[in-house]
Amino acid sequence: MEIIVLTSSPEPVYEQIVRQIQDRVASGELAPGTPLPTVRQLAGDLQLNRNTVARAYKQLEDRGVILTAGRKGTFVRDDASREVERIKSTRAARSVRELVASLLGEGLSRSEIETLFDDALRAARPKESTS
Amino acid sequence: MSEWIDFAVYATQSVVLLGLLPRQLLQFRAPAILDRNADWAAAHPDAMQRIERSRRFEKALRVCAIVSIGVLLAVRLGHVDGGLAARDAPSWEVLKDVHGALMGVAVLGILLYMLGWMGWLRRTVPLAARRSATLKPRLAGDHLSRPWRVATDIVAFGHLALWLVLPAAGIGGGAEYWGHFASIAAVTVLAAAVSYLVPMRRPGYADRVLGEAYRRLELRIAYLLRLGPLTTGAVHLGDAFGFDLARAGHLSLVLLVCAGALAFLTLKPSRPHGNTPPGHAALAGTPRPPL
Repeated sequence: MEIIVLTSSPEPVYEQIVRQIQDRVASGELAPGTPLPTVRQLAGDLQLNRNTVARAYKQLEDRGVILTAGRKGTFVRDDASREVERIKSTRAARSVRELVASLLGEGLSRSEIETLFDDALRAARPKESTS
Repeated sequence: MSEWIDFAVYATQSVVLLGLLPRQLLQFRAPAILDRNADWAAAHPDAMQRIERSRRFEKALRVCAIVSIGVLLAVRLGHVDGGLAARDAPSWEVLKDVHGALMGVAVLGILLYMLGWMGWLRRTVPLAARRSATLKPRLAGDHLSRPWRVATDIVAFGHLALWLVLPAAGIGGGAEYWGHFASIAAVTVLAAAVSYLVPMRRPGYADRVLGEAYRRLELRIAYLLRLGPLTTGAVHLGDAFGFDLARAGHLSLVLLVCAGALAFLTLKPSRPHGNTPPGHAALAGTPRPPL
């Protein structure tokens, strides 16, 4: 199981690490209790500063995705997938709220926005079924 | 024991370290560049061809190997006294010291070449923006099973315990004995620390080019070399019992180094598989997954 970062990406590297670990927890690839590499190992492998990886781990720990148990190492928390789902739905709700506010600001009515959302969902459905 | 046996052991080490090892090291030059930045390699085909064709390092060390064996032969046949006849040393010891001096110079040359090469690589080939790493923690148990590790610990530290117990049985003791013990204990602890640190070591080009096989071999060699102090210990304890094991002990150490180098010669750049260290996608030209 690999993690890939792109240093030339506009997304900060530590956020790429956070996102990929969260995605793997959400998909079940990283099961609860799975040990993760040390900050030193991951930073070495990715040829990054240790602080970058430490920042990503700190954020994952603050979000309740991973647990650092001293010298025993770092593990995926038992309730991590629930936490990740909660983070994802919070983020999605915020994105939708921002989009709706923006559309209302452009003068679209409630029914027009609902139609746009319905169309977007219909257009996305075939992609969902193939993925 | 004939000095021809010493000569054969030293000549074997010269052939392995100066004749065979450089060829093995050279075959990793192109993969190391591909690992660092595959796009740079694709944009500089002339430079890549020049690097792959260059054999100066290999030829220079082959000359060193021939000169080294020639000098050892001359010393063995008595044409050269190695500058050590004045101290009235036995001929096997003159052979040992001459070989040690020659290998020291050659190994220094190899290290300087490798440092120069790494410097060139860092200066010339920019690090690729895309990097990958495994999410699996590396542990010593991945490469060497627990019974072997525990057995090595028992033998290495049991050897130290033996040194502590023998004076109580009336064998050994005195300033010289404890001086030997201190140096053996220091090497034992250092070798143990190295073997514990190998799984945590930051990966280098060899890891990325050779994959996990390199670290596995490195760890096994590190545990094998933990038995080195036993040879030194046996030589000194042999003195206490009236046996001269210095020559056999030294030859054993030379053969131990040869065994490690020969094991390294079996490694080949690997194709990507699960849990690969960084760079394998670039090395094997596999498509890059989107972020």
